[in-house]
Formats: sequence, C-alpha cells, structure tokens
Amino acid sequence: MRWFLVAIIAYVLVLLKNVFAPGGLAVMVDGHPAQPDLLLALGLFLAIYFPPREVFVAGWFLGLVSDLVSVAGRLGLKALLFCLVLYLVSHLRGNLPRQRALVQFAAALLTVFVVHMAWHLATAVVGGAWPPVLGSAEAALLDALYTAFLAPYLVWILLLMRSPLGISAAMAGRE
Amino acid sequence: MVFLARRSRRTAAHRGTWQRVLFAALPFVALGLLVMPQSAADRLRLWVSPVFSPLQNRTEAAALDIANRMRQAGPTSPEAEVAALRQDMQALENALAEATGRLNQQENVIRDLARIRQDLDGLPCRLTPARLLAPEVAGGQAAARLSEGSGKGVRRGGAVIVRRIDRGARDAIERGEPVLVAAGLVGIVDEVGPTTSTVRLTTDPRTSLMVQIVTRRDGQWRAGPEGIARGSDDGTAITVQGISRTADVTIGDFVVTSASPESSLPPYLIVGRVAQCDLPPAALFHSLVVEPRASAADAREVYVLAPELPPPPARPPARR
Repeated sequence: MRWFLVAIIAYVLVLLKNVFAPGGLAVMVDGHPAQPDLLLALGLFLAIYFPPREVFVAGWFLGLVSDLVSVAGRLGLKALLFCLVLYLVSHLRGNLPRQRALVQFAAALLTVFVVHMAWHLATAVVGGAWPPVLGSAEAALLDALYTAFLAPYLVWILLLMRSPLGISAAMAGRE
Repeated sequence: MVFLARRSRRTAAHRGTWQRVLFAALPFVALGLLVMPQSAADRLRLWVSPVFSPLQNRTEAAALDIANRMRQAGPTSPEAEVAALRQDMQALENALAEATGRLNQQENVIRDLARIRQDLDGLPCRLTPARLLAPEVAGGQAAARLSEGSGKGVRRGGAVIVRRIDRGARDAIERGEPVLVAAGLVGIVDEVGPTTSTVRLTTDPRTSLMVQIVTRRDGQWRAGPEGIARGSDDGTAITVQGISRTADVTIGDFVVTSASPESSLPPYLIVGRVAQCDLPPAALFHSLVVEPRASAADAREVYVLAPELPPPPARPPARR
C-alpha cells in the first residue's frame, strides 16, 4: 500500500464530507440527514484489495480521522471500530468477485451498517443513556444505503489509480 | 542484483516489523483515547480543525450551491410550483418570526442598558453585553471552549455558584469586574479566558463584598450601616456580617454595594434584600441572610461593568 497516496485520498474525502452535510447533498429521510461515510468506503476498498494487517493499520488511522472531524462521540471509538471491522472484512473476503458493483454495494451496505450501528449504541451506552436501538438502526441503515450507492463509483475512481496505489492488474481483477 | 534483492528483502522485513508493532499497539491507543476526558478530546478536535476547515468551508459553499440548483431544477408542474411557493412562504414566515424574537431580545437589551446607565448616574463606565452560557452545555467542540469540568462551580446541594459568559479578554473583560442585570448585581468576573470568562456569583462563599443597608421607615429612605457580604455555605443566599446589634435592620431592607473608597465595586449596585434577620441574645452583631435580587438562574443576558477606558493620547501634529 502506498500510504502517502492513501492519506491524500483520505484528506480529499474528508473535504468532500461537507458536500454531503445537511443543507448540501445529505438526503433527509424521516428527519434524519442520511450521509455517506466516504472514509469507511475508502477503508472497505483497501480491505478488499490489501492484506489484513495493512488494512488494520489503515482502518485505525481512517477511523481516527473520522473521529477527529466529527463533533460528537468519544475519540477513538471509530478508530477501534474501523480497524476491527475492516480487518475482519479483509480476512473474510476470500474469493469474492470484488470487481462486481453488486458485491461492492452489498459489502458497503453491511460494513457501514455494522460500524454505524455499533457506534450509535456504544456512544449511547458510554453517555449513560439507554441505547435507542430502532432509531440507531434506522440512521445506520440510511447512511449505509447512501454509502452503498456511492461505493461502486468510488471503487471505480480508486481503481483508475491502481498502479500508484500498488494494486496489480491481477489483484484488480483485470487479467 | 543480489544487493538489490537483499535490500528489498530487508525493507520488506522492516516494514513487516513496524506493521506488527502497530497491529499490537493501536487497539490500546484507541482504548486510551476512549477513556480520555471528553474536554481533552474536544480540545484535540479544536486543534485539528484548522487542518480541514479552510477547504471545508469552500466545499460546503459549493455543496449548498449544487443543492439549491438541484432543488430549483426539480418540479415544473403548476401544482408542484404552488407547493414549492407555499414552502417558501412558510420558510419566510418562520424567518420573520425568528427575526421578531431577535428584535424583541435586542429591545430588552437596550432597555436594560438604559436602566443600568440611569442607575449608575453618570459614572464613567462602559457596559459590555454578554450571555450566560447554559450550564448543561457539554460535549462536542463547544465544551472545549467552555469548561474545564462539569462538576466545577456546583455546591453539594446542587446550587450553582459559578457561571460562564461568552465574553473574554478579546472583549477587554478583566478580572474583578461586576456582572449585572437590570435588577442588580449577579456576580464578579473571576477567570478570564480569550473568548469566555468565569463569573463568581454573589452566592459563592468565596465572594466577599463591602455592602451597605438601605432602609425605608415611614416612607423615608435612609442609608444604614455597612458590613461584609459573603455567599452562604450552601451557595443559595448571601450572609451579611459586621452589622452592629444596635443598627435598625429588618426583613425587606435593601442591600447595596458600599460607597466606601475601599470597596472594589462601583457604589449602590443592588445586591439583594434582607430575607432573615436574627439577633442572638449575647451577639454583638446582627446575623443577616440576604436573598439576591438578581438570580443567575433566570438571567440570560448580563452586562459586564468596566471603568471607562481613558481616551488614547492625542498625537502631536506631524512636522513638515
């Protein structure tokens, strides 16, 4: 993995995060502004193309950046969740047809839902409140859907940079 | 070639070692961050924000622009246009209601300022409007700017004795300056930060003021004896000490700041009214409990009173 390039991409995605802020391109559903988690989508891309240990480290730093740019929640929570979930995805990916948009969609949907749900519940528990399970699930699902719709496009853009990122043609499924 | 192959193997091994170290250490670092106090985490977020915010502001403006265009490009049928116009109308009405509320608030501020100015009777001073920050503000970036800890400034019984205002050294606020509302003295500026300050309320046991009793007997107002006012131990009232047992004091008398030159505050600011007046048989002094006239719990807008700054020295005319 080319760490410097990944850091630059992460920085650009953090800047893009504001584009999807409420009032911008966030989709209001039932009072909840659904926003895509682009940093997690980047982490997922790394998880399906790079070895688990590198993914773990990258996931940790992406989570920390996500923690730092958000205004709420405990610092370090997303770092922990990102690295653990992405490490797991990287281990379980097996022989998935990762170049298929549907697979990317499903993987993004599941990963973002799990991470966001865990984050909502953990934040509520740490804050001393009874976790609002249904509300959290709805918010997590909306964010996951939005991310999943954008994930194939993000993967396509990132695959255009496969050689600078250090992904071989075989890895990218373009033999 | 052999050298290059060896070097490449060594670099890969080195990278592998680092990854193993990070793999083992990072979860613990994350746990360390998790147990970190929220105020420290918020401060960290505040420090990091300049890395992203300059470009973020630009992207946000671009996003708003795109979103507006998308919304305008949407419905074209007459019914949809009527619905869109109705929505705009509602938004405008909401904005108007909000503006009316703000105007009313500004009018209240102006009225309060005029009343306090009148009470100060031409004293050379300036009044800085400030807002008491809600004590429940916590979490997010706000907490990093506001407080060192939620437990600070609250007595055991739950009485709040320290509040924060949204003015600091940048607004020329200085330690020891009185904080007022139209009804009277609320507290004294204690610690001054760049953008916020701590206000020690009159009910804080650490607050000590030189005060004077003002009495009204048979329709006649009289300046009474002077004493020292301190916040009570439970932080709910003010006690006044040093009032001689021969002094004529009763429940309902007014307590104002002293006109004595030794007093650090401007004279005749209303502190409160006597709520309890005890005179034990063998005591030399009255034991007075004063109810503060201005309650910080009810107030939102306050005014920091400061001596008028001397005008800047006139520059001598430049010689040609």
